Amino acid sequence: MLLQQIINGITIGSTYALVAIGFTMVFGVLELTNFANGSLYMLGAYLSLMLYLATGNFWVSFAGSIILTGAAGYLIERLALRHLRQKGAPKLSALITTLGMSMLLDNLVMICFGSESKPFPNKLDFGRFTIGSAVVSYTQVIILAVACILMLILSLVVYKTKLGKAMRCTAQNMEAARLMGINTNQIIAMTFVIAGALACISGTLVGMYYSSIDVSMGSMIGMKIFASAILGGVGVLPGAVVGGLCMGILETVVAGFVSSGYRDAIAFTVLIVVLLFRPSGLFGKKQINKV
Amino acid sequence: MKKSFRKIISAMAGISMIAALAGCGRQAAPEGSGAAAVGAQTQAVQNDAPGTQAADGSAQESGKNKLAYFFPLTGEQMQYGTMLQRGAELALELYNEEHGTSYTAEFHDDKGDATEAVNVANKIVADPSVIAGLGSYSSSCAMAAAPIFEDNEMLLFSPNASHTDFPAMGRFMFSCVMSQKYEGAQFADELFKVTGAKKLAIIYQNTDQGVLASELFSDQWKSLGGEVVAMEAYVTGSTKDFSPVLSKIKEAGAEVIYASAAYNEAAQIFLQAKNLNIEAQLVGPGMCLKNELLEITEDKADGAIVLSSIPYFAEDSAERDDVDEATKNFITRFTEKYGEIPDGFAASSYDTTNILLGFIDEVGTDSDALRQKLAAMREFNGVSGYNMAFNENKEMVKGIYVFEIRDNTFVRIN
Repeated sequence: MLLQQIINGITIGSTYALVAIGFTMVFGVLELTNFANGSLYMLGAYLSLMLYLATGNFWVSFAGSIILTGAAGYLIERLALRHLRQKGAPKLSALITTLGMSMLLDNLVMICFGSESKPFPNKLDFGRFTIGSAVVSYTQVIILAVACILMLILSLVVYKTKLGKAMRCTAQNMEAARLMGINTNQIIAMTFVIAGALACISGTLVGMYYSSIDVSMGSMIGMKIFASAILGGVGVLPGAVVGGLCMGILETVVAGFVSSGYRDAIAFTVLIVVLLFRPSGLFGKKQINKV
Repeated sequence: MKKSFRKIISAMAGISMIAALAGCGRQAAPEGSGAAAVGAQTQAVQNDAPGTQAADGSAQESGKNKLAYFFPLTGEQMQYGTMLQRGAELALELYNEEHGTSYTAEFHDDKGDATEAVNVANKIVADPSVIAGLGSYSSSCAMAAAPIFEDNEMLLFSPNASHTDFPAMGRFMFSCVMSQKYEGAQFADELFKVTGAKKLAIIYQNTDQGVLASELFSDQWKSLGGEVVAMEAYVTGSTKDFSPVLSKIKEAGAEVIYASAAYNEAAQIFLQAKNLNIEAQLVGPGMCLKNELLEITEDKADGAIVLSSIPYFAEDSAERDDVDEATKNFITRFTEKYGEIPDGFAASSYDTTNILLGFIDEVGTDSDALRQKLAAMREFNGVSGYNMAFNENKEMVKGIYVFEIRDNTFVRIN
């Protein structure tokens, strides 16, 4: 029973982790809480489904949807956030803007596709196997594997490539980065595109896992990904994955052994307690105040 | 400086979480009783052939020949109001055709708003040609209008008000929908009979209605000699993963799992139970009697049972042998006239109209006589239910339909 619950938790946790990676990347570069991330996740799942219904080829649709959702991420940056940044608006305005973008996307999808749950084809349904008395499906294994692989790839990009170096420079000091000849606008746009593409991948995987998608899936997962990212240390990629897995296991164990009515309440209580002792999260570095 | 900014961010994140939590709570069940609340009839009307002449006469003498309906015909409940209106129109048309009568209908729009319902009710009772009022979609509108009908001693027969307090609001209040109070217990009876199992687990929505219904269900199950091994609540709208709860139920050794949930959540419960190799009998309530459920589960929900107080209307209903003639006729005529399959709301409205017209032909247009006749109704078979009757508190009770999902469609098995 405990093993089964932990497996259940790891699966939910890996879905949180997938979205939290994109969220934490944007935060790392821009120090911006991107509320629209959950909406991009939902939008990605809808685009995958609609392209699939139109074309009939799932993997092509999936690829198309990743590109389109990445483009949507770019548009959010280009049309809304860049202007704010260039006019020197306070960061809080950008934050509220992403909240507005999130509502815009949610309602747009609701108008176009309706508010009811849509059936979603599960192309990853390869059956299940058992470990002791616990049942594991291959879909669950694939979701966890994808989360880990994406984390590795992105970590490599951020820490080993020139683009990643530019990202980290921009994160540290945008003025200085620009003086060094880095096109910061391009770097920021790139970050949003990656975040959008990631959100699309996770939205589609989650849609397949549950065989259905709905408009509220983004807002439902929204607060969980904030919590995952904060728990792991905002801005740290492996932290997002570990934080997501911890949140998932925590709430599953609570639901399984205490009561499903208290799952969120207890999970968030633990989050608060952890932050009291490690204010920058499990993997976060202590911030040094710039003077 | 930087530190204070981080504080602002975390405060914002906190606020947004609270907002999101509040948002989740708000997503109440979609007038859940609505779909389940549909009930009415077709055949009752035939036994008054001799009475028709006399009753028709009395209807003409009193100068009353109009039924006044009030439904939400605009606003966000419009879709339901429209179906209710169509069911009523069709019933009236067929009845007049068959009995050579000339009853007319008048449709008012209450916009799903209780204040508007009161205005409309005042208009209806002031019209001397009106026999009775029929409405509305929501219990709140029907209940707001109830005192006006009661004061004017006019009958108010609702095709969809399922609130348990509605029939008790006055002598002239009737509803054609099974009271939520009785549904839970009746479901338990039928399920116990059909499965013969003892160990039950219930997963229910953490809402007023969900808590009440599941308590009634489990009490009845225990009184039949069964055992309730687990009762698990979930938060409607924000729960998509039921695997922790299902793992717990599996461990508890349940033979039957009753998922008191809307169709999309029930679909998740069915699918995830399969993924955990749970072999217990899966059961859902009337809210699951939707094609959308089948689209999500595909063939993976085969074998699951759905309990409902309303029948299932499908495109191929007319060719199925688990559907009676009156219902087939209703579905065919409805589809001809409106180009779509009727739903439970239309059926309930159809039955309401037919029941009332049948009694008017029998006893005339006097409200008092009609009310006594209605209260004495037993064993009526309609298109929205069978064995429909008013109990001593004039609450609607009816037979329960048991469906099994086979080859991805609902098949009646009782």
